[in-house]
Amino acid sequence: MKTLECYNLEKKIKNKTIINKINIDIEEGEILGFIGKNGAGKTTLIKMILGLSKIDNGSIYINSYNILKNHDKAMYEVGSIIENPDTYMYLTGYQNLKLTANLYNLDKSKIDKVVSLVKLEDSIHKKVNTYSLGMRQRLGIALSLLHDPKILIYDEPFNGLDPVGVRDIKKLFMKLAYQEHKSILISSHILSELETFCNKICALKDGKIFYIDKNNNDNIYEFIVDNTSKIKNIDNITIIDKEKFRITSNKNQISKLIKTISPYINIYEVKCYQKNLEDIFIEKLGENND
Amino acid sequence: MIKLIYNESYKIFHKKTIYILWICIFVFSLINNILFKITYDNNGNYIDNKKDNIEEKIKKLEIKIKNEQDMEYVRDKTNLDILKLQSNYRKDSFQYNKTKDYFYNTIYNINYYTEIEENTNLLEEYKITYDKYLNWFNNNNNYDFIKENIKEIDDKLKFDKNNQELLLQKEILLLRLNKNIDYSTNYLNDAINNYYNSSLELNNLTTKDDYQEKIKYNELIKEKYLNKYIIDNKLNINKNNDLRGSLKTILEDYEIFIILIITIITSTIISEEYNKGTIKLLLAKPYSRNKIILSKYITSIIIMLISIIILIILELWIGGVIFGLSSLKIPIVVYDFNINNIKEYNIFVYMIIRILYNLPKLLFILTFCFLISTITINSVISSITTLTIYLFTDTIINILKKFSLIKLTILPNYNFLTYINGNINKYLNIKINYSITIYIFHYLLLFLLIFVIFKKRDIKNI
Repeated sequence: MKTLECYNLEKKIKNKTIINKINIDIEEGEILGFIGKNGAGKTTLIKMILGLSKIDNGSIYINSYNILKNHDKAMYEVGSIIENPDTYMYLTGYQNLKLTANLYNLDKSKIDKVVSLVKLEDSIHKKVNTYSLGMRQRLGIALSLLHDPKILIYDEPFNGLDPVGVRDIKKLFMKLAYQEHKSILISSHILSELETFCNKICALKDGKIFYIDKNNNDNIYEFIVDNTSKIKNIDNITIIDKEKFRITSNKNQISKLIKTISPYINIYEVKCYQKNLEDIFIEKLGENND
Repeated sequence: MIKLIYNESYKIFHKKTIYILWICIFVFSLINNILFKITYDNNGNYIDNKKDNIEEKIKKLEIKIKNEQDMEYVRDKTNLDILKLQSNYRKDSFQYNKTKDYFYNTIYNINYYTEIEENTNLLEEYKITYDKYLNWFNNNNNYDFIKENIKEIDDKLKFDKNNQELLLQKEILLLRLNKNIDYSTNYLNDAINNYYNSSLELNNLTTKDDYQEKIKYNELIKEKYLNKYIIDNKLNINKNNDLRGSLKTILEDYEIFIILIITIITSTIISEEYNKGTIKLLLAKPYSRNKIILSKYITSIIIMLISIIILIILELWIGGVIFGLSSLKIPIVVYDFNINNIKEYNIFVYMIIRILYNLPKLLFILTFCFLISTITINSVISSITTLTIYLFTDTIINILKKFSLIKLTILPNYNFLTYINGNINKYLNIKINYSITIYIFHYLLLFLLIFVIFKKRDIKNI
């Protein structure tokens, strides 16, 4: 069941079309990564989904509720952080959580549960203006999880977290998605982090969305064989030395190639150098025409 | 909605702002009450060490005349003689208060014909007059004095039966007689003077159809009846240096603090959320924008009402400790224009009535500040514009009075305190029903604009 559906979204800012007939959807238990150049409109799109920016055209459904016609029901299942974690600095972390819990009619046990989830037990009763950025980020995540929403929307959630923190939060996200079947939409610049745990990645360019399928991209494969001179009639091969050659291809083509050459060649090793997301990003989003 | 209001109040009470403002009220009230206590005596008179210290005045004049000559000497010697004569009598006697009236001319001439000019005949005449008056002074008391004056007036009235002034003077003398009022400087004599003056002016007022005349008429009739009440009941209802006096006009005396609280709380309750980015947290919730902005509006009103209650409690506490609670049993007396007569109120009832008449103004200022804050998200602009409107209402109305369209604006129509006790609007010739209509129109306009503007707002990058 789709937790988020966006149809034909459009938004113009000062006669420039930022969002141009965009369709996005997310299923339960799916983690969708969301990338784009600076100023492409990622945050604008997220704000439109959350009702913080006006929609010029199109419609958004969260949990099958239209966010304009059924705003309250739609927003009930959404947890989010946008740009910076929004907290009241003059209150403690616990008091911030209390305020949010009050609006959803939640009791104390939920607050304690979510505090231990983000590992803030030690400082939850200190004022937020004493927190480091990483602690505030974790508090923001705690706030978004308090009411157990079905869909989580995070704009750059790894900001300010050290590697241990990043790993912990990633583990948490994966648990939320795979065990509790929550949908997560994450926008980030830190592509290396996105690629390890998102099911799907989409990019926003010139107001349009397109999906990047890591699995069907061309990668560089390196073969170690007994004698490279035996290779005949294969395109796009780069012979490196007597035992090594490289070829740029995708998964399906490689399996065909292996079947083709294995009758007359001994294959000892096949290594795949996956193009990382950064290369894809620059390659696809750096293009001027689409 | 209750939950939203709870959250908003929670945030306000966890910041220092509101407490600092309440402490300012406390400190101001403390200083005010202490100053009142030490500068006014128990009768409500200003303690002026210089006034009425007749011995000092005599000493000073004695030193002064040693170096004087001619007319200067005559004048100051006369004043000295008057003071010396005065000091023989009690302060509440007619002699003490009428010495100058009776003796100045005589003594002046005695001194003149002794020092400056030689004229034995005139000097003798004046000396005889002096002795006559002195004798009369020494052998009569207040009662005799009053009786004597009544007789004089009756004689004059024989020829001029309907002379209002004379009739008034007789009425006052009879009051003194019946109520046993002496001549000392106290609230009773002030009341008598005020009653006399206002009654006299009232008789001279020809019409009260003109708006300006009506204002004057209302003022005078109030003075006349209230001062008559003071004389009849021998009750100082104008005393301000006690708890009753502070409570009577408490909201107006401390109004600036309430306005400051309104302005600061209302401005920051909106702008803070935008400036800190927490508005995103607030709006991405299962609550409509209307509910969210309404909860902030209601919270501002609640804080204003709580502040007014705190103000009353602080004043009761501080005033009670410094002045005691005994003054609270004296009623508040007002002239009610609806029944054209005096009306008495319990102090607390009257205080509440006054506060209720003042609330529309405070509510309007709050709503105005809230609207500007919603439009500009800038607490400086909303504070300054609101304070300007509040402080300069009277000035603006006076400047723009000649344009008849001013009566369509809110300014002369939001201060309902001017209508209390059935009185008329002090700015323009408009009636209370008219003000109510204009007020409701402007209020609804502001109120609806708040929702419309907030609903349309895109949340910019914060």
